[in-house]
Amino acid sequence: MARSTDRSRWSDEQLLAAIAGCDDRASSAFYRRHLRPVLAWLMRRTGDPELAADLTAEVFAAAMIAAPRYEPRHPSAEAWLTGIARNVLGHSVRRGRVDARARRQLGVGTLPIDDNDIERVHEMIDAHRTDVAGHLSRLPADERAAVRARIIDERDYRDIARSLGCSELVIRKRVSRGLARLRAELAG
Amino acid sequence: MSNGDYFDRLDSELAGLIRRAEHLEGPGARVRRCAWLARRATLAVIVGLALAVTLISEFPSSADGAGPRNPISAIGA
Repeated sequence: MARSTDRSRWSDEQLLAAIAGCDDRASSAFYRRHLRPVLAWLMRRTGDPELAADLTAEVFAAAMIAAPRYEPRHPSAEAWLTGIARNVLGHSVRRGRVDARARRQLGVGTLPIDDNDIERVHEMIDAHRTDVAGHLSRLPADERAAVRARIIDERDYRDIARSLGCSELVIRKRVSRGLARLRAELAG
Repeated sequence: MSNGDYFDRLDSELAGLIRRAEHLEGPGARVRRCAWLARRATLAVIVGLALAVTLISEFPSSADGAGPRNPISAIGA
């Protein structure tokens, strides 16, 4: 079957393989698909829109370099990107300055951030929250509570199990099912 | 996404780099390789010098060639 030329319909795996093959439109599609979640993830941890935007640039630069080595162990590259974001953030915290190794390697110049860009960060974070809330609201109540507690509030399984009055295994299953449902909805 | 904001510029910049295959062989790749080789060479020299200093301090007489060549002759056997 012929592959669609609309890269926004491609899977992450297809996009990353195309990026490895120097397809710039695949790079844009991948970036646009994952920009909001990555930015929101970094914003939650830093609380600083300028810093989050700067780190986002580094995360995507690192992802482009790592794309040829991507192994599709997950149905989505979100976990892979989150791992990269965690490394970039951790390295920045340890060094006391924003990690820029990937951008240096690629020769990406420093992009200035002005007040409009900061406003844009807030807009994207709000849009991301609305998206997430919309998708979450369509989950069954038990899965919604488990996914919200685990993914948004980042509580550990034991704590969630205690507060919801069931076993850790049940919570893990609910989170897993809920995420699978969200993934299917986002892909469809 | 409005034209020309930070995130658009980043998108264009990354797309340009991908098009030019910079992510496969970045412009800094050769410099990094040279720096890595230089670090390895420096480390090898330091280890070599440390080893030489240790040997000379442990066996000072052998450093000027004055020591016995045959250890058996040294004990008069």
